[in-house]
Amino acid sequence: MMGLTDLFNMSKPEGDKQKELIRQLAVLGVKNPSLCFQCAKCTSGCEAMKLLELQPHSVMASVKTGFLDEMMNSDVIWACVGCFKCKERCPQEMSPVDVMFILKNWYVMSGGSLPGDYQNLLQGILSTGYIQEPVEVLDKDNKGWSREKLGLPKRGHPKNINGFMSALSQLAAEKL
Amino acid sequence: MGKTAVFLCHCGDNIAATVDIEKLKKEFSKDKNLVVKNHMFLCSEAGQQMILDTLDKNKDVDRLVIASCSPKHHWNIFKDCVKQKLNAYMFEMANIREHCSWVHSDREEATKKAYSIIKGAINKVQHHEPIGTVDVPVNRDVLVIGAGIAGMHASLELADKGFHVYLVEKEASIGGNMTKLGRTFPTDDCSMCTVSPIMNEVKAHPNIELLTLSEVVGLSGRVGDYNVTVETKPRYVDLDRCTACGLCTEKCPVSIPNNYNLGLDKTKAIHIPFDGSVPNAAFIEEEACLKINKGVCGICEKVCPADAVDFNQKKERRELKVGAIVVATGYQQTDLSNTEYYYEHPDVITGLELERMIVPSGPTGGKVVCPSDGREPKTITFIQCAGSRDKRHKEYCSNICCMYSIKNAKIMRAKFPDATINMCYIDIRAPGRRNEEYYALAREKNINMIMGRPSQIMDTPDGRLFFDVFDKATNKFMRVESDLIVLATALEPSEGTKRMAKVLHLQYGLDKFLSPLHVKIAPVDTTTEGIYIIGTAEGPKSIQDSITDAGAAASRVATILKDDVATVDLTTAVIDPDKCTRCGLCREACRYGAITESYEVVDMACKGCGKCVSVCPEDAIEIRHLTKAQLRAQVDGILEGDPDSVIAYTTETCGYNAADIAGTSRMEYPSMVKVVKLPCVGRLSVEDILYPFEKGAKGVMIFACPKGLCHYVDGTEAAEEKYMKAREILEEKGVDVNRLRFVEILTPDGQKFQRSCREMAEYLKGVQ
Ligand SMILES: Cc1cc2nc3c(=O)[nH]c(=O)nc-3n(C[C@H](O)[C@H](O)[C@H](O)COP(=O)(O)OP(=O)(O)OC[C@H]3O[C@@H](n4cnc5c(N)ncnc54)[C@H](O)[C@@H]3O)c2cc1C
Ligand code: SF4
Ligand code: SF4
Ligand code: SF4
Ligand code: SF4
Repeated sequence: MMGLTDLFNMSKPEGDKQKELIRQLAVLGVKNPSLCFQCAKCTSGCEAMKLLELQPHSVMASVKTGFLDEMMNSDVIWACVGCFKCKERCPQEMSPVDVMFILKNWYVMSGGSLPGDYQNLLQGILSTGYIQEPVEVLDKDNKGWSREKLGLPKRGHPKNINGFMSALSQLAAEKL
Repeated sequence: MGKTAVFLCHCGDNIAATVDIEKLKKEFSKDKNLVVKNHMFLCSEAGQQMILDTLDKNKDVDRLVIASCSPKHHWNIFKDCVKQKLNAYMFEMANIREHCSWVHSDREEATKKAYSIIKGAINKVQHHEPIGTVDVPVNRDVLVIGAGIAGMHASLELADKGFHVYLVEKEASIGGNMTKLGRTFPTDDCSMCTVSPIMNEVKAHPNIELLTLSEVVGLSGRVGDYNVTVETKPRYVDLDRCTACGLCTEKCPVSIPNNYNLGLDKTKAIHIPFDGSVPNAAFIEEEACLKINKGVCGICEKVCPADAVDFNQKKERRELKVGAIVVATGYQQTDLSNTEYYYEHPDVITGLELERMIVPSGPTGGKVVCPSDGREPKTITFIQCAGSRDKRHKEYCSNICCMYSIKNAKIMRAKFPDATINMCYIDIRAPGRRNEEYYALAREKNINMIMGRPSQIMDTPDGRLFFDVFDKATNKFMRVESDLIVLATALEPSEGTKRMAKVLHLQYGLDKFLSPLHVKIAPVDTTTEGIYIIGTAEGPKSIQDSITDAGAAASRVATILKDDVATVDLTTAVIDPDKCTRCGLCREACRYGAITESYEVVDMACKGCGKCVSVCPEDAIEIRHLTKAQLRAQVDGILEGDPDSVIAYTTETCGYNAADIAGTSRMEYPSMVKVVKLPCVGRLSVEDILYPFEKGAKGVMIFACPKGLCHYVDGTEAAEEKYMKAREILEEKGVDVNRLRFVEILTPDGQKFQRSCREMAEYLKGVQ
């Protein structure tokens, strides 16, 4: 962190990047981040806050003030677990989670490499079709539930794993 | 016919920056029948003087067009000015500000549109004829609806001025929400002590006639001459006999939740509304009473020592004649059930519920407890903006909850010196006299101010309430456990207010609160002359602001009813007896019974909506202020100015207002859309709808008030019927029916206006 931030040189609230961000959000039906009024409701409910100290409201503040490069290159955006609670609860119909997805995409497109954990996740998806293989989940009363216990059928796996992998890679290539 | 004077207003830069006034002047000056002038501010004294001088110098000018702002803004000013030289209706306003310069940025395009709008007005005014006036007697009685602090204060003000006031209250007692509060900011005096004397004064005032358990169910007439139908529910208790001894309540076997205490305790089917209620007499809740519903019991009747219980009372209807109406029907708290605020949990309460517990005579005898088990709370947490400032609930700020939560936090500190008191907030809003100072005092009371909004309230398996919140001030993520959570619940218009909007045909905003004629300069007036809105029916506000409103409305009423007679313009229908075949269609269409059996229009009954015109097969009936010739001439003029136009017919109220709001909010839309104002869309005949198509218009849009909100009962339905017929005809002729559109719109919805126009233009571009 630097001692004094030079707003004139560092931040470009009306820059091209910001316009592009607003455009991409609009495609998703999400409004301009500058409508965020910093109530921090997103952070209060953020799953990644508890574990990794992610502050979605602060990401929003940075984005609206124009610190887009800084945010794009920062580690914090990778902490988001994509639960979408911030989007669900935001009183101003903002979506920190979508903002962070867009920033992550930009980072990768600009040649940045995925943080280590993400590589593993990606590998997991490519080889099994899942981010991870949950065995049991806990309910509010700390009781564990498996699919078996709930009488649900076993989960399937991609039958043709090579075809699955190449389809995914192709999709990723197209998207980028 | 004489010449027409055209006055072009620059409105400073408001018009002139986007519309080339000089160019317009040059263009119109080519027409030898026109006298063209321009001015920086036509509405100014100098501007008006110029209009008068022009009329003096050019004796052959007998009508004029004023191209300026919206007629909603300055019509009266120009009417008064014109009236000095000509008949008040010998002018037409062309709105080149809200409908042109403020919604377009391209100068050439805006100038072209302005030309077309003005051309429409010039053509139309050629067909204007003088419209007469009549003097009508004014009824000087006043109706006030709702007897909260606002309604009571307005009633007293008016009664003191000598007006006879009918005060209609739907509950069994007057007083409204103020009777439920503990102490009130910013003075912290006891609410009941403040309001009780006012209630008694209302009751005792010789000029106030109180009707409790009553609601307005019908309205007709106009300012100075309203007819109101009031329905009064039976109280089943004789007001003159009941001594409020309470014996009936003691013996009544039916126990019901006490609504006055927000269900925090119980009462009986027969009970006195509350200590100090006015009238101070018992009443029976119909739905709960065994005698009324099952024919058994009747104990109260037997035990009453004053013989006051009377099961023979029936629902009654009464017609009142008044000159003006003040609506003060108040607010309610929004229901936050099934939201992240966990309102289902008994220990999550609203501000008003806490107020009830604070009051010494309340359901808990003044003890603040956790409703779940009656224990004393050790941690009390206030959550601000619960349901307010939230697009998923209420987008607006509820205005007073910062202040009342601060008040209640202070009271909690005084009651529980050792308790933990938290308040989660986004920002504290305490503007107004003494309010910031009030907040400062609270800051000395050791209250944890948490700058953040919780995401969700939950409870632990053992029933403890908790939530997580990120505090921006300390940059800490906190888990807050509480015994009692008090929500600063969003306020919304009461159900009674919403009903009055329908019955009285009042405009309301997207927030559902009744909307004033002008938020800034006519804050208690409505679009209906002679009807005023005050207090929290208009928006969340404090007692102080409600009282300010009440005084303002009383003054407005006194102004409007100051004379025994009023002069009314004859903007009414008129039948040509030579053409009329007495088919009866107009009489059937008219919702006001304004056309007699001998086919004459009763001017005082006619509202000038023009629905009769739309159905007459013989062209025998016209409304004086918008004849067929005028309407067609205006459309011709617009299309002459810009052949690629879309004609947007709007109602005088919602439709036109929405277009104006699009203007004031600078919401750009395609310049091909040109507004043509009607009193009501019910005025449109099938031919009127098709006419622009015949003349080559690209499209026609009809902007109607939403169904049920039509200011003339059912003009929207009537217009929709004509629209469907017109569609059929277009289809038969092989014309694309998508070029004709029908849109229901509310006054504040400038966005919908913009969207509809854009969609239309987008579509037309696509099919070209
Ligand atoms: C928790 C809480 C605390 C508050 N504390 C303060 C405070 O400390 N200081 C302060 O200044 N303000 C406070 N307020 C605000 C205050 O309650 C309002 O400003 C005030 O009561 C508004 O009065 P009113 O007359 O507009 O509406 P109301 O009090 O709601 O009165 C409306 C009346 O109209 C009647 N009515 C409704 N519909 C109809 C109908 N269709 N026909 C006939 N009658 C009808 C109702 O029965 C009611 O009697 C508080 C509000 C809340 C919720
Ligand atoms: S993104 Fe939404 S929830 Fe988060 S701080 Fe901004 S307005 Fe509040
Ligand atoms: S989607 Fe991401 S930022 Fe939003 S609440 Fe979940 S983890 Fe936090
Ligand atoms: S008054 Fe305060 S608590 Fe109420 S909605 Fe406005 S900001 Fe929120
Ligand atoms: S339909 Fe309307 S304009 Fe015609 S007579 Fe009745 S009130 Fe008057």
